Amino acid sequence: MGLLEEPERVSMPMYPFTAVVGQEAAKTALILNAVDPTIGGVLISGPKGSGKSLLVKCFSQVLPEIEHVAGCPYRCSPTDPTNMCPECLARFEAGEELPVAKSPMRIIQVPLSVTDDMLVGSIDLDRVVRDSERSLRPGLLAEANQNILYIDEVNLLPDHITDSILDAAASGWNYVEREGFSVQHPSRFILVGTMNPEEGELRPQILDRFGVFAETENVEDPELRFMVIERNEEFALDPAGFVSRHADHLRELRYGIEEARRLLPEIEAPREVCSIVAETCSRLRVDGFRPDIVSVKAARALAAFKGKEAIDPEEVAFSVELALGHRTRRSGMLPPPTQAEIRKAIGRAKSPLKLRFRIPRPRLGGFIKIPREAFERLMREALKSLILGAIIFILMVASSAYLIESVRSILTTRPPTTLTIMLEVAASGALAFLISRLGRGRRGEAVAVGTMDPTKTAIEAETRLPPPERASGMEGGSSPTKATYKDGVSTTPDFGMKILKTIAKTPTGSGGIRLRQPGRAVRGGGYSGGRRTKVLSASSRGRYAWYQTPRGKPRDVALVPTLREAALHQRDSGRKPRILIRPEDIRVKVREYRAPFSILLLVDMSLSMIESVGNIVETIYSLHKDVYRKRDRVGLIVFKGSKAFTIQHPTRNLDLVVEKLRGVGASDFTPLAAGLFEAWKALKQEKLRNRDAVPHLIVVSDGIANVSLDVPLSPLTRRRYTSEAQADSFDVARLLAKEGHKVYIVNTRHSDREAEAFPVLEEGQRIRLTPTQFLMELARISKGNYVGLRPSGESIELEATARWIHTPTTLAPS
Amino acid sequence: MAFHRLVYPFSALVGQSEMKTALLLNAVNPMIGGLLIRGQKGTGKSSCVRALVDILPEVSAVEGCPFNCSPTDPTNMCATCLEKHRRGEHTEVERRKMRIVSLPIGSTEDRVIGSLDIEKAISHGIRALQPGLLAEANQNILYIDEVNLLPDHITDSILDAAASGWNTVEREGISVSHPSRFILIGTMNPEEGELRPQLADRFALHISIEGIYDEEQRVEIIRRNIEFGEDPVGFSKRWHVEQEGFMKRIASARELIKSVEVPETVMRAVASACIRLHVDGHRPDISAIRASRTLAALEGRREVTARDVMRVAVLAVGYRTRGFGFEEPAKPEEIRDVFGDVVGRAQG
Repeated sequence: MGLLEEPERVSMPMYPFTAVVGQEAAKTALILNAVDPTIGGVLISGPKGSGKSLLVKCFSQVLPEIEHVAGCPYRCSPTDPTNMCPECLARFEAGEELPVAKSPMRIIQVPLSVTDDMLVGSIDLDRVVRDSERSLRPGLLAEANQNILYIDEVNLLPDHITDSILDAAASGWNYVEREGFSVQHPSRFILVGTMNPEEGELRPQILDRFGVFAETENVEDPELRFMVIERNEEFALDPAGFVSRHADHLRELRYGIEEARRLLPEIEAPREVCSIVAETCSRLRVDGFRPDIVSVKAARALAAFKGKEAIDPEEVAFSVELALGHRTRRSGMLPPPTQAEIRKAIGRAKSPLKLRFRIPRPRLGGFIKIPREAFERLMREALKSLILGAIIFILMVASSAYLIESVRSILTTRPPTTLTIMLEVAASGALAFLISRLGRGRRGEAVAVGTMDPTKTAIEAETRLPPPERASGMEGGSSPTKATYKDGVSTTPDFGMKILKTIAKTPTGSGGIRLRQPGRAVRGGGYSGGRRTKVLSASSRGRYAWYQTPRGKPRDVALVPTLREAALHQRDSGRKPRILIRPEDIRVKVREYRAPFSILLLVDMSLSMIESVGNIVETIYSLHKDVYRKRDRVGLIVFKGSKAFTIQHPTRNLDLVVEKLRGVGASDFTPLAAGLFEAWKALKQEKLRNRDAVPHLIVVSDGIANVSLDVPLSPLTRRRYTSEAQADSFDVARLLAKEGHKVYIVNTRHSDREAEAFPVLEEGQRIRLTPTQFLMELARISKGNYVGLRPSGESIELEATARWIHTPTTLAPS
Repeated sequence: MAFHRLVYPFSALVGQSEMKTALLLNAVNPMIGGLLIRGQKGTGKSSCVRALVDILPEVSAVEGCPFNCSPTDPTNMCATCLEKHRRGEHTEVERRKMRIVSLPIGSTEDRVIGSLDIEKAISHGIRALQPGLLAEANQNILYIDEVNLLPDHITDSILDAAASGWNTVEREGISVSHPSRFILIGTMNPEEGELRPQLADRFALHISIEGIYDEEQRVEIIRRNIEFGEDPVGFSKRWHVEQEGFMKRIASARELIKSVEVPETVMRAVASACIRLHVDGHRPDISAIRASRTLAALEGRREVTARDVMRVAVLAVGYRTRGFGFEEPAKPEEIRDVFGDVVGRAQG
């Protein structure tokens, strides 16, 4: 009997926020937002598996309650007239007491597959069919009002969705002007995003909407790593027990946040604090004023959280770091400042505040509790530094006693004053403190006590060395894109431009899609600036542009136009209030979608190519603007030794591509065929991931192919050429042509002599091709374009439509 | 419709005086024809435009007309109103504050242009037009944030209306034309992409704003922002007097502008400057004259001076394409040089 009873349902307990090991910057950033939601959200960036999403998800446990108007679908604030929908505002202005309801702040997640309708709001079908009335079904932006809007993998969100979120985030309002609706409602949310920078970067415009920025790092300390595993195991085995063990910490933190919210209005932002921030920001040339405002707000929230009555310098320093870590500077020309730069700028800001710099005194409840293990470690550390301090003290006393003795002997008898003794004690104490600090600094993330302590991050920042080229490039104030990467001899200085110019001149297939040279397009000369060939997409991606009568089976039905069409004959149907929709009423959506380019660079990394690397880097950077604006993606495959390596799958993060390219290194032999084959596979995959993408392949080589495929694609081709490596490459080129990919072959050592002396085909003889001839032939077979760079620096471009291998009667093209 | 929410007061905005003046010029004289603000993120573009709503002047409209027709100007009337006007019928006139109609970038075309009213269609079986944003924008300000991100098909419909002052709805068996004469204001961040030249040309004035790197001002921005965030109602009350001042200035300028004269020498100077700069079309000349005339009115003068022209020159001529689009737009320094030279010569 008992066996059949339904067990009591227990909802899966959530991993406690306070039990997350490490990632203190991210935790602090989240907490500050809970204390003061007007900070405007946080972006957490870090490698996969570093606990970003977990942190955000369990953040809901410590969120405070918010007040909202009871019964309002938009959860308007009952007291703030800047955050009320038209109805609530009317009631408020009429002097009506608005009914207040309290509910915990929630996390509203935006899925990556979200549609415009879901996000912004759309027609409520129920109401139309039941009451023939048009009404709005509020979207995620309505739900997010006074809540947290969370986007996981925010860098992968489609553009048009990002734009809509941007709009709402900027104004705090959602304007719905769609499908016959005109509604405005407040949508003021804390924007929380997580991303993995490997997958691509975020547009600076959306980056700027996040109030603060925190990076999560891989935990490298073995003991902390062990702690992560241990806790995970514990939680998996006994979730309820684990949660109850951490309940105290959680409660304490929640109490701390509530206390801080209460304290917040009392904390003033004094002039000095504002001016440190303002001076720092203008010194760093940060774009816009949002960083200033956010910094001050964050500093206030931090002070409140620590239970202080006034903002101290360390709060300012820490919050400026949080607020500036993701913001571009000098109109987007400079990357965000590094920690060291921020510290330097703050240090230079002259301010009376610096004089009263104090060590923060933690208050109970204001700090995340130190986990027991960490506490023990801390005690050990403290003991060590104490002993060290004591030894130093004794040494100092001994030595100074000797010193004083000798001084005294010189200056004749005079007893040591209390002052000298005090000085000695102070000096030895300071030394001990310094040494203990240094010890901690070297250990990096050693102890979790530093949770809210900005000084810890400072020490880390100083020990972490910036990459040398980058730093020197920025010191000069020049653009980081070109000046910084300068190895490799430039055989042809504007190699990058040349490739792109060639590409720009070349219409690529139907529809006139073309790769443009980045830069300001001048009107008249064929305007294409800012516009990208529209692809009327069959998949349900892109922005809903218009509707049409379906061809074939209707998918992606456009509801409103369908209803509109059907509306007219409802009276005839005589079956009110039901709606009769005839098949001919149905309309489907037509979406506008700007197809991004997927540019795959296939680079020859044989020793003979090493001097061109600098140029290739420049080429990649010259794609920079388009990648940002048009969401193009660039991937990198290199071939060297005996095989090809996919260095980077297509991404929008060019820095990453370049960094990896520079780290590859060259080796002997040139397996061009393998490289092409790898590229063919990658492009095929790219096409699968994004059906509308326009793949381009740029092959950069000097044509000395000397490694064949392990298994030939077609043994027949090998019989026609003297070189097996060349024959295999031609086979793959044929595959590429079959798929319709656009191929550009760049020969870094074009020889006119070779190009003019194509072999004459004779019966029963294998064809022998020189490197230039080989690459030209490769371009022809892959139906691509050929760009040859002469040693003098000029380039020639050939559309590979002509046949270069000739029967005795024809001549080589001039 | 007349929903009016509390926004940050215009008068409390720190710095950016050029942008503020450009906005005021448009509020005083709708004939100028719009403003495009380019600038980095977070420089207060959108806040400034949204703040304008509080100090906008009143306009008169035919009461009950869904298209906000003007009661006196026959070129700006829908068919019904025009018929009434011709017959000399009395129309009820409504005075109401000019509004800012926002066009979000996620708008669908049916909401922008207008479409079949589905409720009426279902319940009465009649084809009636549900007016769109372009109808609402008549005699008002049409504001597009992030205008460079606007989808092309929406841009096309706006271009049509902006060029002719009329919106024609031809769809779903509806055929209606109605006036749609609006002040087009757009804001954009050039980092995100350029604007189509045809659309850029519809904005009479262009301004490119930069961040403020003055410590005093930055401190003031932070402080006011935090103050407003904590107590929006109180903050607005404190700035009430200044707001009133702006409204009075606009109202008196609107009266005065009818009697502001543009000396022939000034007009000639503007024309020859535009010729020297090779700017395309005549819009730059016209907007330069209109803007300088409005500027004089805004400052309570009855005659346009050379200084007025100098002050609006960059606004009106900057970012205009030149030499049939083959030349880059003129740089501000170049414009200032040419205008300074020409104006100086005209004054002899």
